[in-house]
Amino acid sequence: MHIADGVLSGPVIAVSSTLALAGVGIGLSKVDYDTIPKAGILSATFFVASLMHINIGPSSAHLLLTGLLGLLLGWTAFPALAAALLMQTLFFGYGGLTTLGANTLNAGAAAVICHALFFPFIRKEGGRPATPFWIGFWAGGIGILLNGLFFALTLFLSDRDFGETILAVLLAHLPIIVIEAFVTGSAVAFLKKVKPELLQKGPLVS
Amino acid sequence: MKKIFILVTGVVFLSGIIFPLSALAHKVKIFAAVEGKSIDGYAYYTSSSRPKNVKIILAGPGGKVIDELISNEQGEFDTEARYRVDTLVKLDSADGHSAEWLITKEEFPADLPEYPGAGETLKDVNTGQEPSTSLAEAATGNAVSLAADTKELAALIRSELVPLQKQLAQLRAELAEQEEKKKLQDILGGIGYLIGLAGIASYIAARRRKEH
Repeated sequence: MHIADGVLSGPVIAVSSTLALAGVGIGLSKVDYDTIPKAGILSATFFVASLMHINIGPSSAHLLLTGLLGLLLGWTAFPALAAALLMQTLFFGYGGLTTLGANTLNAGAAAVICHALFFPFIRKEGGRPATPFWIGFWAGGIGILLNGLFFALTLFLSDRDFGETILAVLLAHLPIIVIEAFVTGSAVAFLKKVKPELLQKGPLVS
Repeated sequence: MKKIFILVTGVVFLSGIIFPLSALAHKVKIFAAVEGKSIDGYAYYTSSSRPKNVKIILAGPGGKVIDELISNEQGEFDTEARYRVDTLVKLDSADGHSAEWLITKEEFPADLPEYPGAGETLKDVNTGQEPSTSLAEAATGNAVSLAADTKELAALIRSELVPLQKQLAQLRAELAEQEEKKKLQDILGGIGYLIGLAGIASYIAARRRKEH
């Protein structure tokens, strides 16, 4: 779901870059000493995850892990995503330099929304705790869905008559949503088992 | 923290190795070459699969559209070469991908007409770059029959060159594809950069902490 150079219109690039920069700023202001290694590792994970392609019919889509980054990092996902997307552009030619802001914004906004929606379930004390797997499952699925919707919106706002194709791209991502939901669910369940502090600490959004 | 560090790093590295590197890709590329009197080409994803039925635009100087095509089920397209001019072959799929390939003027056969309205490119032809043109011009001074002979000869040479052109086109296509293959060092380099950035950030944060 990377948008390449030369696809977006000028105003869309300007607005999305500004918003992405603001997101990165907020993310950096919320970083504390203990979250830096976590952000670095997750950034690298996101960087590599995009290489895992799954061929579906005529199209091919790749994992994103937007939900996982959002769940674990909150606003810090913005700088982590920006750095990883920059590396993907430089090393693999995914996306582009002018669209870096738009791609960061699409993924970052999805990540932050996921955090706001699902992180409270992890932190909930007392009452019946939600199963980590299902929290991750929903965060992963919703994360990529939101990412896709923002992606479609960005293209749509660029004033291109892409209606049908955008729909086709979103449909092609439906299997990815399911796969990513399972991957994120397993990852969260695993982390909960071996390193519960990683999920319980919540200074990232407060 | 240490344990999880080792664990996640392990997962990152393993996943890079497990997933076959050749099958990874996302970027769309386009290749086109002049073969005889037609422009042949194809679009491809760097994963070696090809996008089907995409719109291909041939543009002349200043982005003026010369021709519009749709690639077939194999991602290939071909069309008649109309003008001898720098031609930009563009692909613009609707899902946020785009790619370009430039066919330079020199690749087109010399007997194609110049692009209308391209004043500055016309000059180049008359500087004697084209053997057929200058020879033909010289011939008109002497005998008409010589001119006809030269033209025949030029046509013969051109037809002999066609297989060579094909091989060259194939080579260039392979070269372009090779360049796009992701290499392990790219992946490791990217991971290294990101971890390095986190390291720098840690250092800055640690210094700040000390100051307080």
